Amino acid sequence: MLNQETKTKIIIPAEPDRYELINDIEVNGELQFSAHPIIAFELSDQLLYPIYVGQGAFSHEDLLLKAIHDTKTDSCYTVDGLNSVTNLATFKADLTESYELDKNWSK
Amino acid sequence: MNNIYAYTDKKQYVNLEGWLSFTENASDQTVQFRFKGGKVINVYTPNGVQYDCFTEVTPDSTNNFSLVTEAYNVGTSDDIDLKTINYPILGWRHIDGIAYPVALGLPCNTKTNEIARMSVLDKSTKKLWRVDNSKRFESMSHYIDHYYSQLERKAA
Repeated sequence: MLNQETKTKIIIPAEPDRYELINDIEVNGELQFSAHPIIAFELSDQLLYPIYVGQGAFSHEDLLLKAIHDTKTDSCYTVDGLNSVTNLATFKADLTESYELDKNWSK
Repeated sequence: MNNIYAYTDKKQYVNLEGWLSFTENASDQTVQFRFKGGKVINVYTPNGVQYDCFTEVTPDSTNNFSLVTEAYNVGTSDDIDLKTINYPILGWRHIDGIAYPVALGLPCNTKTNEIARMSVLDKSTKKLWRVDNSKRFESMSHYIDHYYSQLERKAA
């Protein structure tokens, strides 16, 4: 079996303002979203982890389920690559719906 | 590449530094590495480990290319639905004369031979080609027609 050492690589996108990290946070029982400019990606274990500007230091594990928004095409991709949607509004709506379902379920 | 060790079919750890090329055998779950001087070793990869991560990445500075895959569901021959997904390409890995894209949004367990079957869209010419260079498409509609007809044949 191969040694799983991987080469970490920083990749700076050709268009520096194109991508943003979408973060979700619960405020007074509501899900709110914020967008953080991505200035580079760290390639690690075959995934592209965003290096972003803004508050909050997320671990790789924290970042896996967060979305990267391609502002040029409006597409969203989760960092783990397991979910992609055609626009940011759909991504936010899906996440809000899951959040509301979880909230109601836990009551 | 420094001191990357792999466990071979000879039950030895071998340093892969200096390999020239490799060939994947998906059915045997092995990868054959070739070295200068003709040395060849076989490495067992039961979990589909991404050996290509050992190669350097050239960042894409053009922003001119997307990786395209087709996503579809097949019910009956009357309701085949074919859609495409575009992934932005941020870099390239050059292996055995093939440029493999490093694209945003691909799952980490996407294997090299799966990427080889995907296609690259040149946004300036609107033409596409399969990553392994086995097919070229004059346009997105040509690409969709090709895969749509494949789907129809499968569904028939």
